[in-house]
Amino acid sequence: MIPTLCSIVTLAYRPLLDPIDVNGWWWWLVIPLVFLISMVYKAIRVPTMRRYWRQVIKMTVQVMFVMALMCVGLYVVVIWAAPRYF
Amino acid sequence: MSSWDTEDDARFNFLAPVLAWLVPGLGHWMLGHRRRARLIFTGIAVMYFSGLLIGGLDIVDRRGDPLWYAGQFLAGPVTPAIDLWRSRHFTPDSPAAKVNHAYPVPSFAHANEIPTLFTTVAGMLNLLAILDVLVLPRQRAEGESGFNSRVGARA
Repeated sequence: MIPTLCSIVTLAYRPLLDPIDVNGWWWWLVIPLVFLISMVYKAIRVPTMRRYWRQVIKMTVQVMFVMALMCVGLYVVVIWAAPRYF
Repeated sequence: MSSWDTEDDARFNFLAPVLAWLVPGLGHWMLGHRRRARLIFTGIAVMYFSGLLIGGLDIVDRRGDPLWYAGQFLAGPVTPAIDLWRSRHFTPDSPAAKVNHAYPVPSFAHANEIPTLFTTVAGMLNLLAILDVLVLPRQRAEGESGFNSRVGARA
């Protein structure tokens, strides 16, 4: 019982001490990252705060869209075009 | 046309950039841009501490990753404080580590890259905020929405 409890305590996540295993899903973190970048960037850049959140969402969507397009482009080049023509 | 080019609209603030480095958003707060300041602080703080929670204190490492540390340093004195604290108190030889292994476990691969990116980008965004309060258009500095058409669109 006690060794089992000890192993559970040892394996528990300790904030700021243990890293979180993000290796399987790290790419999803790009969404909050882009959102937070847009939030700070637009807070600095917009002339008025009237349509602030709309501009934040717009910038987030634009960046994500371009990154998705680049992903598709790279996929086509690496997986399809390169093995066939090079 | 850039807003910085307009006649006497720009004025230098020397205290605001220092405050902006000490606490992200404090420079804007001092100049009266309270809402911008709250948003800048929230965005940078969430990004920085998300990185710390994902990767642990080990991602702030002046000796191991000096270039990334330079970017993290721009987020404020919290970065050198973490580096100093971690290097002094959270080593495998420290008393706390001998009792309950309380020292940051090194992170590798994406568990190190992504949080390092989060904290460094937070620092780079704070650099934008610091530069913004260094030379702020006078019309914009006078009020939260005090942006006048004479200055020109910035976004």
